[in-house]
Amino acid sequence: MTWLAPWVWAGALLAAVPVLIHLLSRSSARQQRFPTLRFFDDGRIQAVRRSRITDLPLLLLRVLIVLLAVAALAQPRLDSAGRQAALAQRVARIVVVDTSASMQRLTPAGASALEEARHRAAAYDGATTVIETDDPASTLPGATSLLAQRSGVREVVIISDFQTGTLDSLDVAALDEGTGLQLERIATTGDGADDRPFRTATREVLATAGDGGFRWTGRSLPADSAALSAAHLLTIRASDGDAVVANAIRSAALASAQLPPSDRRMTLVMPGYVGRDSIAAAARPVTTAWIADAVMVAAEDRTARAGSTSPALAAWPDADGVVSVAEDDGGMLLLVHADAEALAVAAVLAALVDGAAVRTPLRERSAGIIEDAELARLERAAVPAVAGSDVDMSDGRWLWLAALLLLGVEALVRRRAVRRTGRAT
Amino acid sequence: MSVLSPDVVAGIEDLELAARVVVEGLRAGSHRSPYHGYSAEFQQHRPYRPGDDLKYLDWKVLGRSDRLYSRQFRETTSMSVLLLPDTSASMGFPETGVTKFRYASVLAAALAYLVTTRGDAVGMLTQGTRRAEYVPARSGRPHLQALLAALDRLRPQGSWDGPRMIALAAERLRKPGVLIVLSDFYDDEEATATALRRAARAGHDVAMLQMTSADERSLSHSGHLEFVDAESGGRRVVDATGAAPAYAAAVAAFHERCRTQAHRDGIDYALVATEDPPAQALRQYLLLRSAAAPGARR
Repeated sequence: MTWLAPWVWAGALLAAVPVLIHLLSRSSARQQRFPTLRFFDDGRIQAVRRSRITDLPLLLLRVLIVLLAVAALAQPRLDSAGRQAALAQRVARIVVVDTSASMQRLTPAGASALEEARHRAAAYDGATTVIETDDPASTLPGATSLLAQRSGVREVVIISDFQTGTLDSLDVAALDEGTGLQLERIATTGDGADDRPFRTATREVLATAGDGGFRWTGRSLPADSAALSAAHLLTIRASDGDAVVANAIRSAALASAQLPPSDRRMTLVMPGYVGRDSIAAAARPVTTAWIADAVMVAAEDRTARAGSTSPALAAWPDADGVVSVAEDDGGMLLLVHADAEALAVAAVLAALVDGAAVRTPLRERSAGIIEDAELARLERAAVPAVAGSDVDMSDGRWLWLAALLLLGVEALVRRRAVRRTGRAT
Repeated sequence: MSVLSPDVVAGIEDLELAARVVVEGLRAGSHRSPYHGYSAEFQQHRPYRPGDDLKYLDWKVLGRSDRLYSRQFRETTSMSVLLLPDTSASMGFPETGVTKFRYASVLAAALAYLVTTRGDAVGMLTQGTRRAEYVPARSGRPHLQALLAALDRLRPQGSWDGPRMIALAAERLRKPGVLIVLSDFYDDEEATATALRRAARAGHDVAMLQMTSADERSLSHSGHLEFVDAESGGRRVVDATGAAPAYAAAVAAFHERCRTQAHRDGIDYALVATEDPPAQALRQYLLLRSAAAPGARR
């Protein structure tokens, strides 16, 4: 037997009310001066004694009714074995997926950490709520209150790369006692360093983070290389040996401070490329948000504007500037015009890459991660099947039923008492 | 006949006026007063003996026959009536309307008035605030006024030792007289009956005027009540609604007991309800006297 609202038992003090009423109503019999009491000595007149035993059953009934009502309000629950088992099976889980900038890094498998995290989140079944946030710690209080409304075993799972500052013990303290916390780390390659292959049709450009910015190195690839993957950010389509391309890439590498996420693909089509006309024909105006944002950032960039005689970057298809921006299959399509100068192309390219890059919060710039030991310390198991988490399974209705029945009995007893003594109690 | 309600009569402040109103109402009724026309009656002559009062000398016989004869009369002024009103607190009921005590006072005053106008002597013996108050039986209007004043001073309070008062009254009346006890007789039933019987056996003409009110004959209250005895202060919590039938039966039985006891002992008995006009109550008593004991009349 478990009481879901044990504090309601304070209401048991109400049981004193019928007793008090009983006592008060008896002692407050009106006084009546009377010439003589001799006629009350008649055997047929029963004096009302101070302690009437006839009222005792009625009084007990009333007290019992009050106690039953209070007990029902305290929401008793009979903990049968079946119910315990059912409770243990029920799991309420919230999966928090970290979407911070550092999650754009790649896993050893080649996908981004975010994709991996989403994949893992989807793997949880049952009553699971997935929350995506760039600050997992801040979701814990909300997760607690959300879970408080659920029944069964409660658990919070955080999937993240756990950079330093993602979570600490204070954040964990925001969780309810009994709510489990499970921390899943997504391992990324080269934690602290950033190695990412840029692949073009003709050149592979490898950007490596080093002192004072990225270091770009390129090498020739077969033009028909089919090994283009989604992870390869920048595809440059140009005639091999194009000096403009080499210069543009070199210049962009110098100007660009950081790399865009791996799911933001960019294709650069140089003037001399053979498939240029068909690519241009398939292009669509910009509708994707991040592309539009990148164009906006690039339009703000002074270098890009200075290097461009006509900076109408987003005005596809009637643009006559250095670079026209369009969209193909979710990626950014950059058409470099024939008269473009190497420097202008490089400036625009750098600005667009910058714009497409996710702004890294300052605290994530230092790319330390929380140690596994610390994570293990923060983790805790969900307490299984804590009785009292159920709101809807109170057995109080039976007590209400009993109270109602007793009310009926009370009415009967009272009526009989009235009939017997000819008075109202 | 104008039936004067008890409220009206008892409302008259002046007890003498109230008594007169009652008695006049009685005389105006269709029934002849049994005392009306009662007067000194000549009985016989007897030879004058020295020492006889000369005012009884029959001068006409002396003139005719030159013999001295004294006239003798039936004793007419020797009837002494002693009123014994109950002054106990129980007489101060009902709490609303005319109390039994006021009613008894008016009745006593009317009786005194009646007796006085007939030329008889009337007195009163009752328990005053501290000691027994005794007004000796005398005749005459000044005495009546003094008696009524004394009667008017009485208040229903404390207890009333009925048996003692009756015994005392029987002693105080030297010659056989009339004892009229106006009470609810809620005192010691046995002792009272004994005292009344003794008084009757002593040759007195004893009358019980038992006062009662509607509120006492039946319980008009409802619910649980704590009844407080006006005299003893005793308390009893009683369910008034449930007890009403048994109570009414008990009261009726008590009255019946008093009546049969009085009848057995040759005592006049009348149950006087405060709701009835005093004149009616008075006539009831007087008719009872004339009917029950015609030979006892003096």
